[in-house]
Amino acid sequence: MKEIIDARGRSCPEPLFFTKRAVESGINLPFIVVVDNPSALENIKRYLNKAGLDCSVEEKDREYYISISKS
Amino acid sequence: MKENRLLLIITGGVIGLMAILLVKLGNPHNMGLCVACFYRDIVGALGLHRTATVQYLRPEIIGLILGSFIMATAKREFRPRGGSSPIIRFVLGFLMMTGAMVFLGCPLRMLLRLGNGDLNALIGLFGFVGGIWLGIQFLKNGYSLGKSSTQPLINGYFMSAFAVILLVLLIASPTFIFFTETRGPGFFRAPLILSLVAGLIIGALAQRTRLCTAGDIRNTIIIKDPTFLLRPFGILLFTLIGSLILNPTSFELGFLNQPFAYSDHIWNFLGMLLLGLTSVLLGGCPLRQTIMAAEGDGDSVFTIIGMMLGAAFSHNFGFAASTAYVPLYGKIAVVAGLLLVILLGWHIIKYEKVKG
Repeated sequence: MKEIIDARGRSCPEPLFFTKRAVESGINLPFIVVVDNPSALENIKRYLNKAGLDCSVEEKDREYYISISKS
Repeated sequence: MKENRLLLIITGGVIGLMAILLVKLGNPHNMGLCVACFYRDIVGALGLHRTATVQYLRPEIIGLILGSFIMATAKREFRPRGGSSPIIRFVLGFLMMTGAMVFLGCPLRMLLRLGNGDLNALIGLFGFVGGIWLGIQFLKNGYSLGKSSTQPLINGYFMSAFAVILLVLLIASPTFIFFTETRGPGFFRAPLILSLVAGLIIGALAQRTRLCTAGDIRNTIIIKDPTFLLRPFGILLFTLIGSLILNPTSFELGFLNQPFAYSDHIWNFLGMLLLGLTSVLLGGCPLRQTIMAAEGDGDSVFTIIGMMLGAAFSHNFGFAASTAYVPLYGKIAVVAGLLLVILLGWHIIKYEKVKG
């Protein structure tokens, strides 16, 4: 079962911090981060790109499920 | 990624050029677009402060709100939401504006001032970056304003309705609305329709690109990726180029005799320190708050109400700086504001730790 981090309803840059903290604490990949605003999604994507991780995004009713895995 | 970088510079460039154009068309010097100053002018026009030199219903703000609203609706990003510490957001918005009224401008105007050679804005930039760094330390230690949740549709329309009411008042100009008639920033205005159109374009662009002067610097520090600095750099570069072409006589590199600015490094620094800190703790600079409020974010609406009352009190209680100096009460307000924000942040971190 993939771990899910719920960052819905959080102001920027909290979703980014949740993701960064999870990665740095050695969370099992792949895992999922859920956000509900596009700017949080873009910030997280940028971080993953820098951290050398891959992601796929699924949009459900204006909520974004970001599945994060090794590249 | 190359194309992406060009896009960032262009986004900044368009905003810088439009601001310069607005000055050419009649807006105050180095104030083509200033979100903080323009809210101050609006609350003055509404009679909430009586400083006769800064009263006008700035169409740029109306345009920013409606441009963001239209773009968000078209892109299905309009989403009424709220309920994440509205009282704290009000207080932080109030203090954000206090910082802006002491520095004399929002972070966007800081870049415009710098682009036109005003080195006092460079001191402000140091303070702004320092405030952002300080804010990140709070976030790293668990600072949070809590979750917002979706709300009934009607909540999301508040900001746009406010903009429409302002537009009606601007056009109708009833006698209870104050417009600056003496020489002062409020006296300098680009033609209404052009100001409105510029606001609409910048609002739509800022909504699409999530433009945030604080966010770009904040993300650069957190992610350690300087790519996003290209956007503020674009604003700076194109303001400089635009100034040299369109207003060459007004360009002067230095600290003294800069338009609507004073030269007292401590207060330029501390004013922007307070602004940077509150911007990070609120999740966005004054421009970004305006854009989000129009997208339906009720928490940003509370921030803006705080900002507007902050502007009114800054003038009524004599916090606001003039082009000559920062009054004693302004100095007290900034120092007390900084202490209050630090205390508030520390309190929230403690609360979050107990909550787990």
